[in-house]
Amino acid sequence: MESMMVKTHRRRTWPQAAGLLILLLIGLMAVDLYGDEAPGDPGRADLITLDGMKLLRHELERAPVQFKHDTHTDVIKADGLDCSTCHLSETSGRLSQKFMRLADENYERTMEVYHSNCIGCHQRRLDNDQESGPVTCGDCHRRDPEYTDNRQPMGFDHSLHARHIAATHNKCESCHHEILLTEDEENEEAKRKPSSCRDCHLKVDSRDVPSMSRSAHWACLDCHRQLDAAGKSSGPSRCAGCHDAAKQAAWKIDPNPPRLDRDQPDNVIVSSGIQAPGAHRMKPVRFPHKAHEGYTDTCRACHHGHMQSCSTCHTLDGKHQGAGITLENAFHSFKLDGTCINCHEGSKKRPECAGCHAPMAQNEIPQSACTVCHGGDQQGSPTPKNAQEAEAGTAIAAQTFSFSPGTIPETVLIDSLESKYKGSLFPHRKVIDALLKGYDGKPGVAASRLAAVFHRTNDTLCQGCHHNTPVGQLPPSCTSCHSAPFDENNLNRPGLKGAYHLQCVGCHQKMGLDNLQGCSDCHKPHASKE
Amino acid sequence: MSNGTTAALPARGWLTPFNVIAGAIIVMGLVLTFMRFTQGLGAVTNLDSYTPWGFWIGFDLLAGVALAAGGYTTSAGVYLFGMKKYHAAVRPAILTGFLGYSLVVVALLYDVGRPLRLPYPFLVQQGTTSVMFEVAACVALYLTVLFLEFSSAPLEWLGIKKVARIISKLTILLTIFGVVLSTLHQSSLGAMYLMAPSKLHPLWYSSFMPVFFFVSSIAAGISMVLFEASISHKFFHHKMDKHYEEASAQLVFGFGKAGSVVLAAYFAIKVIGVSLDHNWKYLATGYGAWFLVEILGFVLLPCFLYALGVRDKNKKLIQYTAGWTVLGIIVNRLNVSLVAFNYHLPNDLRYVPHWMEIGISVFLITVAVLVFRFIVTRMPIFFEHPDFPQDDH
Amino acid sequence: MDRSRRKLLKLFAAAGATTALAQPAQAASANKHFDGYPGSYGVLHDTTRCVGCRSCEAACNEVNNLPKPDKPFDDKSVFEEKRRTKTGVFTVVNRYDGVGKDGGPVYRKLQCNHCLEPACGNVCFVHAFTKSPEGAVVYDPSVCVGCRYCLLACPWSLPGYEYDNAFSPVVVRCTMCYPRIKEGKLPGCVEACPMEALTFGKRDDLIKIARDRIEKHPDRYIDHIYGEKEISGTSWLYLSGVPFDKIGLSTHVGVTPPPKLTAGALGAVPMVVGLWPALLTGVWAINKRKEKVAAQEQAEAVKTAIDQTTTKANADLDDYKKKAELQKEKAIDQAVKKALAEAEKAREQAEEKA
Repeated sequence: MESMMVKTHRRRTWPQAAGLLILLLIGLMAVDLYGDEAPGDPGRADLITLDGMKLLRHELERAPVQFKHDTHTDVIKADGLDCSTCHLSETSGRLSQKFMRLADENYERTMEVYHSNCIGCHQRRLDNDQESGPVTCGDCHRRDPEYTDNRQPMGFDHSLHARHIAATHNKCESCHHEILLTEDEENEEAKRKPSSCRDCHLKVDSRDVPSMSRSAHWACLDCHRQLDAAGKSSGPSRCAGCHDAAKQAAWKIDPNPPRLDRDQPDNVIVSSGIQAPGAHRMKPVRFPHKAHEGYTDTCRACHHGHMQSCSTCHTLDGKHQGAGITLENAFHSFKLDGTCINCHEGSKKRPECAGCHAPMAQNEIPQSACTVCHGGDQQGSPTPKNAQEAEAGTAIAAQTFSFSPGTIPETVLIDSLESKYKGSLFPHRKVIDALLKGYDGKPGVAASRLAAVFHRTNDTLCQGCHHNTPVGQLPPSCTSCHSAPFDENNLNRPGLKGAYHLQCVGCHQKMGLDNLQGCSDCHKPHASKE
Repeated sequence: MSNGTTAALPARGWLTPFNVIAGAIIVMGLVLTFMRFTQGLGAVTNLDSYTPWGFWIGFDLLAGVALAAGGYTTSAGVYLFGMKKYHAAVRPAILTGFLGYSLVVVALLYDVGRPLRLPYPFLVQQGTTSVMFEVAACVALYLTVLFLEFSSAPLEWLGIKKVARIISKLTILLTIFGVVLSTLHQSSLGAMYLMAPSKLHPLWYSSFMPVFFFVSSIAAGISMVLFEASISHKFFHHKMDKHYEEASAQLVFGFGKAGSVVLAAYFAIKVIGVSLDHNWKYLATGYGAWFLVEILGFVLLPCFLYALGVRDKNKKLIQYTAGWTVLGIIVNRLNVSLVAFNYHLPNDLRYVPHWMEIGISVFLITVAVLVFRFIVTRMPIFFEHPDFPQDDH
Repeated sequence: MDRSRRKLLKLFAAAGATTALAQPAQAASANKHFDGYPGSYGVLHDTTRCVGCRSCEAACNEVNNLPKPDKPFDDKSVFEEKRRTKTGVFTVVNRYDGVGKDGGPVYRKLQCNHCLEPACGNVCFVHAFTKSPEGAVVYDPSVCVGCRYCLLACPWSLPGYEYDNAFSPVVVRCTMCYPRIKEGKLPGCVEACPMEALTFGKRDDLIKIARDRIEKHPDRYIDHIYGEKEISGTSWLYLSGVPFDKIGLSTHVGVTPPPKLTAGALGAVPMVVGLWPALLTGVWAINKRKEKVAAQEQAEAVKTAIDQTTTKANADLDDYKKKAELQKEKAIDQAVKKALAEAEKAREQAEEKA
């Protein structure tokens, strides 16, 4: 009888246990299916990961803390406090960038600084019924970071620099301290030529020089804060002010900032710098430096951190100090950023250029292009600063285009393939005009110096469509080469229909023209077809 | 229970609740059948070109064939592995197997686009590279084997002694042939899905799928025999002789033990399958949880419960476990064919069976049950024919 | 056209001659690798060129004499949803919004990929699919049973099925215009494409063209030819400027030739057929032998028992007999003695009397 009871009891529990197990797993499944939906978090620019103890060669015991700097700045400001609430003053009077300490002594000490001060403050505020932060371990040391770091790198461009020049009333020494500090005669050179900050301040602290990041935060923030305190207009003092993508995009941009005056040449003779008599080398390039200053936002775009000439580091045989990059590659590589070729190649992707250039093979320099830069036989030293003849006599000659009436047809009827649709009346003159004079507010070839330099003749322009036509010849009909598609003997050549459509439609697409929506935009259907 | 008992006794009249419901299902089934064969598959199914195989393949074919494995497992156990004492269980198992396979073939007639061409792979053109060709050939041959094995019952019933004796002589040969064919097509049903590595969820897809299908079919066969025996015992008790009753009682523990061992082996190879393909990471996903439900809830749990039932001589527990395992096999086959299949597709493109598909499956099962009832109430299934005492083979 | 047709036919004949010697894919042994029929044709779909004009759809509809669709072929509203092959539709162009390099749409044509080793052909149990030496995978509806394993096996789910056709449903798929190719014509869609977004040619040449385009325009293309290696190669190849999974081409189909997937399972069949009967007969025989031995032993035991009993009984009987004889002798002796003694006594008495 007893055994019967045991059995009945068991019979009830097992299905229950099984049911419970299944419910549990289904629950898990549901949590998983719906749990991983990421919130639309744009990320924050003010996140500081508190893992500085790693520098003390000590692994963190818990996950590093994500610290929201701006949130804390705002709270302190609202309480009428200032930065010294969290940052101590160094002997120099500057605020330490570390939290509540001047230096890291050891792991335990640093940890103690954070724990007592953070939790202490949070707890005080909680006790006072104020908005506060976490006081338990796991709420700060979160294994899954709460926010995504969206901090943008920060640097001056010409426009921002110009605004600071105006704001400081041309007092370069307010920021470029070496001018201020250097009093001796020998360093007169340095005094006249403030260099880029990154010339000395590297990515990480060196023995005597703080990192770019640390010095910039001192220099910029101190100044901004002082101006703030004086009630004057100043720059941002919150993290997001400089490092948030949206804020950066909203900055006032001076489209034509004044030229930076640091004694740079207007034109530079670019050569390997090696004078070997009798050796045949590439002819040097007369580089219009002044003209190119306007094409970049910063000097750094070409000059890395410092302002020396390229061949100082990039030698013909690729020395270590030039990161193994040869002089030739420093100018001509398609793979490296900031080379001449790469910048020029990139400009072909502008809509007003891409119509013709997109179908052409990428990353290929036609032989004829070498002499465009390496064409002159100029010798000698760079032109002196502000030379009167600046560009007129020395720079590379640019082409001016002219198509006199009658040299090109007004319209061309393309109807050799008429079948389902009627032929298309191609407005030849209108297309040429758009290329030359621009369209939709985009500049034409004639207005672009780069284009004017590299398109050497009128015929160069024609070759956009009439490719392979010898210079100075009347273009032959497309049917001369293009006929039936998929010729086994010439795999890459499109058939006639493909050639027309690829050329016209491709160009319209690449130039950003949306006036081709369907077949009937070019072709009229046959009268017979309704 | 009383319903079933009365249903099994035609003497009390035809208007039993069982017959009324069965009749309704059959009327519905006939209507749906008419629709299927006059308006096409689209009229009664939710099948589309992303999911060409739906409920009929997943339930009727895959689960059906697995659950009809009782025939070969029992006959192999009794005739080949010398478990003579379960002799009386062979006939019901063979009958279930035969009806199960017949049901599968009939279901296929509904499922294929041109049912009249079903013999084409044998008669017109052979696609020998296809796993399905192998399945078709094996199923066709095995159905024949099952028919021959089963035929002794109607032959005895009809009193055709000579032929019945010949069939009886062939038992061992038929059994061996049946095991070979079953090994092949049970595993090949899994092999059919080897062709869809990018469509079947990695937790279910494995190059060992044929082995998984084969091993689980043994567990399915064992459990189905137990399950069916307990159901039959309820409804056809009066048709059972002392011989069958004795064997049946012993069978519960013998088969329970076997079920536990086979499920343990199946669980082991499933785990090996997951680890060989480095699929552990998927366990933390929604599909992983469902996979765990299947493998823990429907494999490991019944494995444990069978063992417990055998140890405690708890017949009821074993019988419930058998039912649970049968459900687990159905879950597994539906997982492979429907749930984990096309897991990559967006929800609006995924397949959910139409009620009419399920309706036709229910109709076919009802017909099979009625045929089963017809046979066991007349032919010597649960009892020995007095003229044909079972001789030893 | 005429000239190219003749040339095409010539090439076709050449292709046929060379491939007549080559064995079909399935016959290749484990270490052999089927690279497609030499000189077979294919189509290269350059999605960076496709403008979604649907000329290919219209041409396909026309050359295959398919029923006219509800919406005309210049109706762009069809792009609002992702379409697929189905009854009366062998090919569609789908628009993938916002995936292009400039954030614009990308169009991709969808049709049978005509695999070098087609999964559909491998799984068909009536062998309704044949990879022709010309490149097309040809479907024979006259033997099709309608099991739809081909739809299941196709990694891209490209074939469609006529689910609404009650009496003679067939698999719906692109034929690569096989009849037209045999006539030396281009496939309908290729001929109609105004942008040459579809290039017809020998597959080997198409791969060269594709490589050349990638080489010359590294910014325009992803450095991958979809279909070159996917499931060991397809006759229909794709170029794209964006990752292929963004334009609906699965990057999870792998490079395994479909026949390889089931080769192991099918290879096990003869082994099972060969070994199982022997094994099972062995098991049966062992069990049978066990029973026989058991029976024999039992019989022997019985016999021994009987023998022992008999011997013992006989021995007992002998003992008894001996004892009985002894007793008898004793009794006789005693009787004799007694008789003698009595006789003596009688004699003595008689002597005393006398």
